[in-house]
Amino acid sequence: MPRTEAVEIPVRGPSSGRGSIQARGSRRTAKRRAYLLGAVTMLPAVLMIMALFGLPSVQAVLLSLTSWGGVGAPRPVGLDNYREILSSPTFYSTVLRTLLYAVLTAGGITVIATFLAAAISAGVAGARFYRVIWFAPAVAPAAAVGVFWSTAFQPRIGTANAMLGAIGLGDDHAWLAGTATALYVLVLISVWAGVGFAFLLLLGGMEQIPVSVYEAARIDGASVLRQFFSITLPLIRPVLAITATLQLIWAFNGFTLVWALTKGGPADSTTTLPVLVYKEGFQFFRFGEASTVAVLAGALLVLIGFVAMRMSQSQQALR
Amino acid sequence: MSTKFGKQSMIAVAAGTLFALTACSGGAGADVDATAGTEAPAEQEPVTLTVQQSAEWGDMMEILVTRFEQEHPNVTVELQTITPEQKATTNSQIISSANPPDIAQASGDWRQLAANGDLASLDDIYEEIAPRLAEGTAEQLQFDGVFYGIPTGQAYDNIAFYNVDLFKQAGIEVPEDRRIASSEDLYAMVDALKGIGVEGLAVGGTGGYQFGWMVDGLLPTATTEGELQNYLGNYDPDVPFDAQFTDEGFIKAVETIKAWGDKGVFQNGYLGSDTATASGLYYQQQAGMILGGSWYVGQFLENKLDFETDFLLLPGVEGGSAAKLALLTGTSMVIPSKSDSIELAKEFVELWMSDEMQVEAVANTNFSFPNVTTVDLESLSVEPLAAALIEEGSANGTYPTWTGVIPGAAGQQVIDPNIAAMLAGSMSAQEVTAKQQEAIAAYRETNP
Repeated sequence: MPRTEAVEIPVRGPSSGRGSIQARGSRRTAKRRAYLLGAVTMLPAVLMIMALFGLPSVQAVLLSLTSWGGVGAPRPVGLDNYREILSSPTFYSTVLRTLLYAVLTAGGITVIATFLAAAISAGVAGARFYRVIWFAPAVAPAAAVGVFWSTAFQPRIGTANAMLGAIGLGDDHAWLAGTATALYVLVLISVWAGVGFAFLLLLGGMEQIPVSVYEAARIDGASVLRQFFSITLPLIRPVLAITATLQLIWAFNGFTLVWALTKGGPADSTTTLPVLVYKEGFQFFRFGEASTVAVLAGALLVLIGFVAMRMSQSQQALR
Repeated sequence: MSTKFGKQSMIAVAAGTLFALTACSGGAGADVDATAGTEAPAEQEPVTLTVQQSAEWGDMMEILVTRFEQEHPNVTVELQTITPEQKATTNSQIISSANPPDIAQASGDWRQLAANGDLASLDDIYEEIAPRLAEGTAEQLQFDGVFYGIPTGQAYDNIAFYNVDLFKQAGIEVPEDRRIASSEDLYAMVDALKGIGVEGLAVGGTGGYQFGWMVDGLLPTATTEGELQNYLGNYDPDVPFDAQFTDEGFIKAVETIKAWGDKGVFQNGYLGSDTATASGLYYQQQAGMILGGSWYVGQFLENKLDFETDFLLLPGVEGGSAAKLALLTGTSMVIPSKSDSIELAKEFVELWMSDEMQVEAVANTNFSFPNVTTVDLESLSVEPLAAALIEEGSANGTYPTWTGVIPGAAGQQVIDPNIAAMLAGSMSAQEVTAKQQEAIAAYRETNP
């Protein structure tokens, strides 16, 4: 039964009255208009995100529910691909390897970049020169980095081995050919390639810290190390957290460098999740399985991202 | 949840989403009218014909394109260079797309494209070409009784090219019949080379195909002719699955490669080295031998090597038959059914297969050997090394290459990384062959 009674508007205080109700009504209308305007202005961005992120993601999920060889129509197989992938030891070993690679790379980049940025921020001699030099690897294309370093690590003819040979450590180490060493060489190269960008981000954070804080610390007798650990690090923690998380995500998703250097080998010793996706899709033409790995890896990365950000936020809240 | 956390969390969500969508947003492709583009363009209308090529085809294509453009003044031929990796991986999707090249390189999975209606029938031009091809070649390019591929030239792979000067320096006596008689003889050669401070056989362990080549060379020496024929065809569900990949012969072939690896036949670090790096080692005279194909002759010329190169055949399996050159029918070219210029594309491949171009463009550029029997091989003006290869093939015969015939997804792309894993100590020869058996069985189940 429809309600016909007038709505009684509760009014209180000295400003209550018809005028106040009208004012509140117009405020609501203005608020509604503002919301509407906001929604309309956001619409292009939302549509773009839907088109560029939403639809391909949905398509990837749908593809993961099919068997498809890359040509012709995909054949629906339900959750078979998920059952197969989740019962495959290869998937779990690849997840662990990817996490190891991502954590070591992100950790290495963040630690080294922090110290480099601190050195520049502290005005080390030649700071202007180092600022450019340390950033330089960040602008090199990943494929070129891969080609350069894969040659550098070759026995006899590689630069890295030649340098080791010059100091008497032998020039015939096959670093990229050993299942026990290849992943760590990859980490080393990834750190080299990634440290420049992180360095720049952290330097930006450090340069926001007022000089007066350091001056006060110096007057109080704090050493350079004490200043770094008690002032610099705590004050750049938000930038540090974002930098570390971004590096973790990029390393987790990294494909070009790994492919250019080792193609996931020898054996599967450097096969990370993106490489596994590529191999399943473009080498074995199992696009359904490839999509399944991609979806699972995506979900895992979301989880890792949430945990990382949550942890960094908790640390900030504690302070 | 705070606003700040919400923003930061979005980074994580976006990253996860990115992983999923960038990794796998292939899709099934647009539904395009497969009959489009079958009309020949008007004679004087400017037309661009796009043709895929490999990086090392430069000299051959220059001759072909120049001649074709002379004969068709309104046509511009645009060459698209693709890598062996692109050919083996993404090229099928490019061919089946709505905007394919007019003439494309076929990968081992071209039968799927044919089954899906993505390739134009070449039956009309085969009436003239088929009788000129070597026996058995045309049949390899047929699917359901229709011709789809053009074998543009012949090549040999799994050849051990060697540095004559270094061999002399190491005191290695080269067998007159160019065949290294046994694995023991191979080890002795490598030891002698290492004795003068250079590596043995340079191979590209990450290249993705050279271990497969070794199987191509070893398998025929470990099997009967009937078994070999079955191995070459049993990916096809219509062919009985008689020869198992877990049979003794196949295992022996794989075990021989393992023994070579264990005995240090290949250069130090070969599992982390690509084919270009392996070539660099040979060019710098730091390896006495390099594993290559007949097209390497052109590359040696291009790199102006200041030492003499000759070739040997690697040994067969212990107790097996003698090794022969491994014959590839060359990269087959196909014409996508969605090409805008199918008739013109057919004219281009007809020119390519003409006796004149098989000599001038294919053979005399030291790229490949003619694929037609109507050419007098003695009339070719090729490098002495290429001539020696032709002579060896003509005198002692050849074996078909297993990885060259069977679809890549069930052959080369399975066996090569698995052998690399075996050589790295992560798999046994039995596991490699069991995986191969699984791959062929799966292919038979899921493919035309």
